[in-house]
Amino acid sequence: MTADLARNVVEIDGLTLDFPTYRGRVHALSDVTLAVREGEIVGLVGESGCGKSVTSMSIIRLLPPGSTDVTSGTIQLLGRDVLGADEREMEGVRGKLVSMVFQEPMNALNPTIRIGRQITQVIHRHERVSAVEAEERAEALLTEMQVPDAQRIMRSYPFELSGGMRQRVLLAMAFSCNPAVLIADEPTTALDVTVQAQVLMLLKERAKQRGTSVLFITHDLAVVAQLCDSVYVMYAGHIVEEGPTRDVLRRPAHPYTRALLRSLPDLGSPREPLAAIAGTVPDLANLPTGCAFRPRCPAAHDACQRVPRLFAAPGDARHRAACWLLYEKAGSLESVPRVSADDAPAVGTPTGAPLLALDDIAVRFPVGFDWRGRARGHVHALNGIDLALRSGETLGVVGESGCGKTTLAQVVMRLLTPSRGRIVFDGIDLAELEPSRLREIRRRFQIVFQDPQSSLDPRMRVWRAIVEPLAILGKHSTSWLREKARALAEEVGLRSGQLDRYPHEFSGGQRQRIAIARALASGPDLLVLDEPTSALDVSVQAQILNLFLALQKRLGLAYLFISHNVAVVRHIADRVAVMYLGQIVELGTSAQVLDQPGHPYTRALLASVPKIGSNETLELPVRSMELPSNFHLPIGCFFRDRCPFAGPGCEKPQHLLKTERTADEPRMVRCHRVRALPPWLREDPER
Amino acid sequence: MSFANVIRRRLILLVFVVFGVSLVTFAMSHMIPGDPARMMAGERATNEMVAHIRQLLGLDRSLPLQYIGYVRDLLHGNFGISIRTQRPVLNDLLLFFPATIELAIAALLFAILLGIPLGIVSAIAKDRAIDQVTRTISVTGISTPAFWLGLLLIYLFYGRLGIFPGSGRIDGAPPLRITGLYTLDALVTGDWPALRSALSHLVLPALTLGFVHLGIVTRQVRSAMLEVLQEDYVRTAKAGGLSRPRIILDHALRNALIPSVTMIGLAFGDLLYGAVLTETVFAWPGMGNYVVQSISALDFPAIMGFTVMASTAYVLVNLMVDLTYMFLDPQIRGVG
Amino acid sequence: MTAIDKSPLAASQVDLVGISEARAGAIDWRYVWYQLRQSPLALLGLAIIAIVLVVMAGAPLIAPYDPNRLDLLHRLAPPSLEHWFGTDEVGRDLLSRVLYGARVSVTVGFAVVGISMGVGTLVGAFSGLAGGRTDTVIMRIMDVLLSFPSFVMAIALAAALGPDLINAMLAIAIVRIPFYVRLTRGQALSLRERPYVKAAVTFGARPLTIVRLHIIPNALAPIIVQSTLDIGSAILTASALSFIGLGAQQPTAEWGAMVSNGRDFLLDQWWYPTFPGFAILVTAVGFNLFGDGLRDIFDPRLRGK
Repeated sequence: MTADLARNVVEIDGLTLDFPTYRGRVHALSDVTLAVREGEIVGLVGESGCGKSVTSMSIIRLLPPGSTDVTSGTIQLLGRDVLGADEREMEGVRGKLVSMVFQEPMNALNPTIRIGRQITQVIHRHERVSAVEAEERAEALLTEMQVPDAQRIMRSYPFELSGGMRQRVLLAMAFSCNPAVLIADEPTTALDVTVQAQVLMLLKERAKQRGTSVLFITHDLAVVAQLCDSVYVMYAGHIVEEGPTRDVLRRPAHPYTRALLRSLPDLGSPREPLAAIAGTVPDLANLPTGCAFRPRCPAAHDACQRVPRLFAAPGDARHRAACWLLYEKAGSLESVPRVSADDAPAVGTPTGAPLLALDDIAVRFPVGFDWRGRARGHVHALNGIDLALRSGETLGVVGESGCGKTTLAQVVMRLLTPSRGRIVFDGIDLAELEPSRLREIRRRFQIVFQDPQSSLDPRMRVWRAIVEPLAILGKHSTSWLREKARALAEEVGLRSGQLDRYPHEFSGGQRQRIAIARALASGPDLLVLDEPTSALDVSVQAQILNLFLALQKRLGLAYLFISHNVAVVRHIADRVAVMYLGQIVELGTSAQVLDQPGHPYTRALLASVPKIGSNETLELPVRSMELPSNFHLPIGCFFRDRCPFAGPGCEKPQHLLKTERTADEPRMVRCHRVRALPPWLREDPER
Repeated sequence: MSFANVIRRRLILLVFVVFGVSLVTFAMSHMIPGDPARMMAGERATNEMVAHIRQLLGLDRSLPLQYIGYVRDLLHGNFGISIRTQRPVLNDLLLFFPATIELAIAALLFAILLGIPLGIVSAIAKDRAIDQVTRTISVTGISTPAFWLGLLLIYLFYGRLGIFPGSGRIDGAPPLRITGLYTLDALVTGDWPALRSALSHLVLPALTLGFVHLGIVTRQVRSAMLEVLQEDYVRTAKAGGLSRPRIILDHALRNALIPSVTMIGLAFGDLLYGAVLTETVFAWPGMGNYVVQSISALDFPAIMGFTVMASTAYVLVNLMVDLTYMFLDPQIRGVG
Repeated sequence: MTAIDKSPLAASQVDLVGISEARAGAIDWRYVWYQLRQSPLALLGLAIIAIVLVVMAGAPLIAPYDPNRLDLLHRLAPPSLEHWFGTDEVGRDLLSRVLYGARVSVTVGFAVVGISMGVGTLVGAFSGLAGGRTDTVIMRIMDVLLSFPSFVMAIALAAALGPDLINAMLAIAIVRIPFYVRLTRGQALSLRERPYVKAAVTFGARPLTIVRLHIIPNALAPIIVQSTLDIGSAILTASALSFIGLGAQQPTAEWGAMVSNGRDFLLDQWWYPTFPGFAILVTAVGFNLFGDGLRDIFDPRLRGK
């Protein structure tokens, strides 16, 4: 292989790095060794806090000076020593030899400087070129990054651009001086999947064309699968596995990698319990002795008291993992017991009249007040939503940012009053209830929010938070409430000994369990789950998803499950509604909608989702990446401008059409051409 | 929000402010202990004379009528007659106004020209010795009673060293009046002796008043810089290899100054406060000195006139600050 | 005076103490103490406040003389072993008067902040939670009040109420109320959007329950920081009013009034105005340093990672 002969552009050797803090020394990196070869795209993958960003920032020394303490190891960039270089030398390296793209495109550009100047600044810094030349080059770069109307964008300010567009500008800036290596730190995590697919494709193509090496930092194994030639897996500051992407993802050697892969919900195998990893990531200030994964590892044994080095895995010699099992007996790996899962839930069996029915719900928000305080216009968040949800059923709502799914959750919870339409809960029209009656009925539907950090009052002890609904609804003795809190905590898998603590002493996953226990306290029939796992790492996400399935089985709850993550929705939902710009564009059973999508938007969404095991080139799912504004709604079909199948008839408003009927479940699609569209080619999910 | 919108909002606010101030000052003039008519008439006046003056001042009418009359007078620029100087209050105020402006501008210049660099240095060297020193200076500035600092400076530079004069605006004849700012007028007319004298009189009061604002400006610039320096776009600039001075001057300062403009502009209100005290200490013939003398004479028309005038000026300055702010921020500028 | 944003336009850009956006986390006291130890200036502030409070409480024990004892034989005596700070024009011991002055100034400082914070937070919380028209009307009134130059208004008010320390105190407290109204309202508005408050709504909690359970405990931190900074500024303003004759009157031992009296003797008896003024400075520095330190600790934007 030519890659073997290629020289290393980035070489990190035995890097050990601490952050001195008030809690003691945080061991951010322990003996990290990593190399990026010329022209190679290398993935660095791991959950939050594993040290992947620290690694990337150390390469160009962007960590705040004085905040870190490198105790051993070296970093070399094209043979130059990074750790010993003076700051002037590093300034010459940054942007020229190595450039970097970060996660949050919204804040990564200076709001008061025009785009053009922000790019030419970097060019002028590293090369002697005239102003005109630099401008021309910047414009060419923008065009190369598929920025439409580059000339105009050059004169724009960042606030005038969308997130995806800003990320393209940042890529243009990163490529501007032809760096040898590009470090991309979760560059698409903040973007919607359809935009992510475009940016990833662009990044891959341009890097290959220019021969630029890429170090791609991500938490998403599926993105790695589609993008990277080789991959490093990090856990608690250690590299635990490395090798060619195919080998690592198909035949993971480290128990952590194996567990991580199994904890991913997959489009192919819905509603099976996920193999969650028990416990949480260790505190970096207080690492366990020996292998850092030992406390959570199902195969832990005596040897694990010592830190394992990287041992070769069977197969490709470059595939190595830091696990004693490999050293002791390579074959025994296969006998590693499967990580145990919660009891397997059955598929929901929805019956009877709808528990919740939404009838033509519309919500609009006034915006842009003039000086007399009158609205200049409206944001149309929801434009006529009809939905029904039965007892014991899970209805998934999926869509990208701005599609109105969170507004929908607020409307259902009566946190927002719709501008139009009716909400009927168990036969009762919520709009007609008096405030006191509404307060009473509220106990029957509860919500779990996305961010477990802010959904708990930081100043309230956890047991009090759990029984807050009960304390509000009636007078109870403290001992009764405490007992209740203990029972609820047990229900969601929390140890009852910790209930006197405050929320910040818990991890994200535990906090989400607390929030779920609180939502269960009043004995609801319906839970609205508003992106309940989006802020969590995948291994924790699996725990929570399993919990939801188990609770549903035990308590017969109905879920309105809102998410941007198609795989998660496919995993948990019986039926799915796909939202776009405040409308439902497709509605049906999960199998119908997500295995055989009808609407062009659903197709684009599914095509954009990166999948493990399908290594084929990404395809461009939509024509234009700019989402139309919901300030001025498009005329006719809302998806028309981005739709690859748009044609005559699309300029008229579209209605939900029944396309097929399985059992008693109709499938509805908001597209008049749905029958004329080419069949959806379903790929075989390989695992 | 557009420029026109902001101006409109500010002007509406101005109407309310002046209305509110007039109401407050009017109410106050009726809360004062003592009888203004008698005070004006003097100790030995007969009851008839007092009654006559009362009628002249309109004090015998009902309160609402008096108020309407008062507002009508205000709108005509008639702030009443000063009890102490026996001249129209507006004339007095206009006479003393330029002196206050001259002092305020000098103090603000001192505070900004020194405060911005200090704030930047302090932010860059956060928690290092130079930062601790700068923060000490800044906190001392904010915590210093201006009247006391003025006295110290007089003692030192006038009493002990005799370098600068301790009171007044100028020795000898003032320069030809064009703007009323002695230094500017002297400069324009080429009256060098007057310029010299005016400047030497200006130094200590400006230093006194400016020191307090130095603290405010430094603190604001420091915290704005610290905030901006940890923004993502500063990291982007760093990742592009831009040098540290370039990042600080071009990327950080630009964004730090936008909020600072608002804060520094708003400090004008505090400037008025400082001016009252500073002028008193240095016998600076400005509005502050005038109002303090009026207070000791219980000269209510003068106090009220000063309050109305200062409030109006304050709202107008805020309007200018907002407009500057909007001009600097491309996001607002673009939308407007 | 602390620089405080008074423009409605800029309200979103610069909030009062920069922490209303704080991700209200439960206060990690270990973190607070760690930060304080990192900041020698904040510790210095804390030490100064402690000393001033001790002096205030123990003035009768510490002071060598009765602050009002006349001693016409030793008028305007320079600093000496008997009279560390010298004596004034009627022979009163200046050290004793400065020590007793702490009682007046610090009491005034706390009283002013207590009144303005008490009234301001109540009105602000009410306005923020009521929302709608009530909120609009209250905030428009506050806009107008905030557009008054506060010290000028304090002068006018104090003059109208009559020269007296209590009146001066009231005047300063009144003009500060709008700041607290706006700060608290901002807090209430931002807390109202927090998921845990929304969750409480979904439990069927009444508005007053939510205020008691969630809003008040979480809004407190920034208000405390602001009030710490304000005490220093209130002490300064009160002494300034006394200096121009609108505050404490003879024979009260008040720092601003003492500087004012000593002014006539500046050139020959420099110690007379110098020591009382220095006491004002030190006290204000103490509160400002400590308040700054607290703000840095509670302001996540300056925290960095």
